[in-house]
Amino acid sequence: MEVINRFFSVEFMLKEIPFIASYLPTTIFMAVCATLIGWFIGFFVAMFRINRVPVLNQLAGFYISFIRGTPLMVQIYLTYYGIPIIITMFHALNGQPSAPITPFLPIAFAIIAFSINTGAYSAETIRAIVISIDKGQREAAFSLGLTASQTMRRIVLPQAFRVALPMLCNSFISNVLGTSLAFIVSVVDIMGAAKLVGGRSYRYFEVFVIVAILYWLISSVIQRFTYWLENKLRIPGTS
Amino acid sequence: MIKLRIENLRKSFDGNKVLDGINLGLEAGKVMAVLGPSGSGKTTLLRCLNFLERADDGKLLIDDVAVDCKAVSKKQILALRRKIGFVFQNYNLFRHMTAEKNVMEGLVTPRGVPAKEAREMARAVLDSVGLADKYYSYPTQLSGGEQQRVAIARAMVINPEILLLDEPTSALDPELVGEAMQIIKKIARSGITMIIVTHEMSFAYEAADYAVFMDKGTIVETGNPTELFDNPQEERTRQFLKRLHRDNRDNRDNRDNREKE
Repeated sequence: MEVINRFFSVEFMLKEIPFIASYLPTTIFMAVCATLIGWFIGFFVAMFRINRVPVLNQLAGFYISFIRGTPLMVQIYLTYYGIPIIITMFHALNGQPSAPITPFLPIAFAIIAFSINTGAYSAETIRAIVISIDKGQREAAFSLGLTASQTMRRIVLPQAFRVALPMLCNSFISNVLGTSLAFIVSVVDIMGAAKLVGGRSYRYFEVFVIVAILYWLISSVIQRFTYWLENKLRIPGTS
Repeated sequence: MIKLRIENLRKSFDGNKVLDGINLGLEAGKVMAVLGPSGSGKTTLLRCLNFLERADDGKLLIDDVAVDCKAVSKKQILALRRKIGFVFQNYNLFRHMTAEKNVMEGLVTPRGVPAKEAREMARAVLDSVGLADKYYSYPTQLSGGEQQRVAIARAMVINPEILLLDEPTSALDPELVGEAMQIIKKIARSGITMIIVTHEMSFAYEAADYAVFMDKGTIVETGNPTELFDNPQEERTRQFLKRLHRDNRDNRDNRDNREKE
């Protein structure tokens, strides 16, 4: 037992779980924000694309292609180093080159980066879903006198939402897992906490086992919740 | 009194003339049956009347209010659609709503009828088409015939002045056609102005005031149904009717055979 303990200490793990788990709210908070803001962005970007809004459509195309073509980690660094530069430039253009940069919490950079990332991926998803809603559904609404935006709100989106739900949850899960990169801009989430504990004890393996289990647990809970919600929203008589 | 007048309506898809100068007039309370081979532009004609399709050129007059199809505004379109009910060939019921909600939607959202009142109106119309026990059924839980009756109820509950029906029975099993036509006949006699695209000649005979034969985007012949069917003036009409007679007879025979079995 003693020998095993030297390499892999269950006791150590049990002792450190509460500390690492106490950063779960940070992880979940980042993932929830990124998913909600990301899908919000994605919705508008999808609308620009579907309605072929001039200029915005082209910008949206570039945005999606750029985000999908660069690593998330690079995007986080670009946000982290880019935003302060933009703010400073803005101050300078206003004739106050030495105005102080309002300090941003690291978590804000992380959330901005994850949201922008999610926005690009969800835009394509949302676009595909909205297009897939039968044209006849919209025509029926028009024939009853609904306006285009009423049709969107009352007919297209409720149907689209049911289709989108599993993908929304997937996106949430991938954001939960994606936030493990937030430590690179010094956010302390469960990953950050794990690194702290690891550095303190040199028991990195145990620490990452804990982190893995925690991520897996959150994902499973979201997955379960998705199934439950899908069932609840299912239109009777459809599979 | 003329309820609806169509003047020189034109529509092309990719250079393909689907409507090539349609002129029609229909008095209030009259029923017009439109016949013609597939691809003759019947459906496009109906769709242009409530602007599901934008005609390239032409004029619509409804109650002497003229609308230029080329320069129509969104507001005008909405105002027109409020007067027009539309029954689609494949019903297009809202998939995520119960029968009752389907019928309520046109009252609640565009017209602002309070939900409680709308529900009562919806139920009354559903009762009248024999769906009193289907308020809470979703479209997927209804048979084709029931879906079609919900579609009719949905179009009728807004109390339209003009009802457009696009081959309302073509997606039904033959044995259900008669029943559906009974309901449509009842509506036709209620004093509504109706244009129906149909191949059911018996309906046209009994319930229509005018029959119109279309081919290749033009109106070939028009008249009262008895005249048009029994004594067509144009060769194209004659040929089409001959074929239709045969099909209708076959359908009827099939129906009879099925009933015998």
